[in-house]
Amino acid sequence: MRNDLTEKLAATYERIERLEPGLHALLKVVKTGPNPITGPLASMVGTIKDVVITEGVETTAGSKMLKGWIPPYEATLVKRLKAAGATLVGKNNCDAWAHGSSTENSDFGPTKNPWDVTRVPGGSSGGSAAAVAAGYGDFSIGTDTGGSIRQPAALCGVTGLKPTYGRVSRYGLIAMASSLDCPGPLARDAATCARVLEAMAGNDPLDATSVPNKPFSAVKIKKSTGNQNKPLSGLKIGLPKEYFGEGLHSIVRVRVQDAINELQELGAELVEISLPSAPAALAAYYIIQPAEVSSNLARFDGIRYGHSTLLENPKSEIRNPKISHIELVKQNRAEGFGDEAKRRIILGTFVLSAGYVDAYYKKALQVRTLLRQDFARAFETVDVIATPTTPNPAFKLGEKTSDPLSMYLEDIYTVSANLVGIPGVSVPCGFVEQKTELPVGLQLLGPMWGEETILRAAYWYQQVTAWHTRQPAILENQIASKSQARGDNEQS
Amino acid sequence: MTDISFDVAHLAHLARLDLTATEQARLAVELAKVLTFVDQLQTIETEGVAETAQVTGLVNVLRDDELRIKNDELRIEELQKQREKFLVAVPEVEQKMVKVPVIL
Repeated sequence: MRNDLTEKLAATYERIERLEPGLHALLKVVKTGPNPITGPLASMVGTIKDVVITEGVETTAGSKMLKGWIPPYEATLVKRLKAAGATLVGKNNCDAWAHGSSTENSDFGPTKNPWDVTRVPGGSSGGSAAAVAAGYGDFSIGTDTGGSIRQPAALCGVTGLKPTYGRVSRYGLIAMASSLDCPGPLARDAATCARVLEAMAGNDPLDATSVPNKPFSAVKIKKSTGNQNKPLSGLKIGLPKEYFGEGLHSIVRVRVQDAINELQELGAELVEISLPSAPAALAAYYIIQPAEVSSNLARFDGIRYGHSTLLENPKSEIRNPKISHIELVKQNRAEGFGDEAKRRIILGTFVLSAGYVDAYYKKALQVRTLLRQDFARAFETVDVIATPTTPNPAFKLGEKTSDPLSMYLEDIYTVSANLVGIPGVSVPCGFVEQKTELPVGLQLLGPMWGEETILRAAYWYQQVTAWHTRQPAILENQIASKSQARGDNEQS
Repeated sequence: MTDISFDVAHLAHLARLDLTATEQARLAVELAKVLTFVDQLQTIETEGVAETAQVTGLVNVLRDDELRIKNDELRIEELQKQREKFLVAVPEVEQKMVKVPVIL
């Protein structure tokens, strides 16, 4: 067993070394050796998004504000993965502070999509999705505040699960928006996501918002109705008309419809539903999320840790003893934060400021209530809601960077789950042919604590389809041509 | 609502952020666009609707008030170790304390 793991690790590091120059899915490679613990994740290898704190291993959140910071403590989820036997081999690149849908906001350069390196992998957990697609181990841990696990999973052709809010401890997560943030797994298939979730899930005294007494069992997702051909019979799947309207790419629509037909073949019953408040979700999200961001990022002052202009510019005027604390903090923050963080800090400060808080923040919280009511009503009649994960396949690097709003619109189908708190999984369901193949994702949403239900639908779908097993051809070609070249060298 | 001209310089001060004139001008344009987008919420009737700030329903999560480490010497040793660990990341340290410029 140990030897197998040692070999597997060697192969993983070799793959990373070969592919990283073209992908940049990792900010740090970790070489601590095989985890000797024989737990439920023994022999499994994974990577962790760099917004999750790892004791003794540099953690930056993709921001130069935290460049070089070595955390003195460990996130609960990392502790649990290690205790379950998983071996962690790297920290994934991401949009700085998890702000973005493309990883182009990383202060350390973007990650490339393994299916087409001229395109984005999605974000903010783009490094996680690209790492799984490229075969850097069995799983990655991402975080999802408005779609940041599901959207990159869709764009990179892997399975990505946003758990119910409160299912997985946020202790040791560098907070983006505390009422929305959910850490969760990305892997090739739903069965692996379920195993990783099982190891991480559960109440943590260090996170007061982690909910006690909510068991999750990975085995249960394989439950069938007994009828071999119709394992999902009895399952009702809702199709909300608001998610199939204007703005949805025509081929994405076809692939998602095919996947829904496949679920019907497996025995599920399809039901047309309506979520009337869903079109307003993105607007509510772009008030609530920056409000919480501006509050959470207030702690980064460069005095106790993080970027300090004093260290960067030892002879700077800021050393002048008359310079005040407030001026130093302003300078540290100006240098440490990138454009997107500044944008969200200012927007969040505005919607929370006296005179505007009622019109913006309070209004958004009320719309959040309406949205919860919509979903609660829908889940009275259906077990699962199926939608596209994203309106479009992966876009070109640089295509949306000059227009922040167009980037925000990529999350239009995913943000509702975060505002409502419910779980969602993105499942690979085919490709859009565009010179190279670009993956498409099917999103399955469930009620609060409904991970077993949505993962069960995903699991049976993956028993009869092979989309999740496909490897990016461009990478395989690169590997083949390189090993060919090496083989030639050895012969000569 | 879209006629709001908001004072980026003042917001930046409130958020303890130094912004250049160029950054301020760009943010004013970008944020006006986002605010125009979110203005669609004003058309939604929310009279009497409660606000949702969190979704767990948990309230007053408190741990039991119990003594965790009974041995004072051990406790002191542990705290010293913790302090050493945290000070490693501090940009300016003096006498094992975080050095801060004049506040008032």
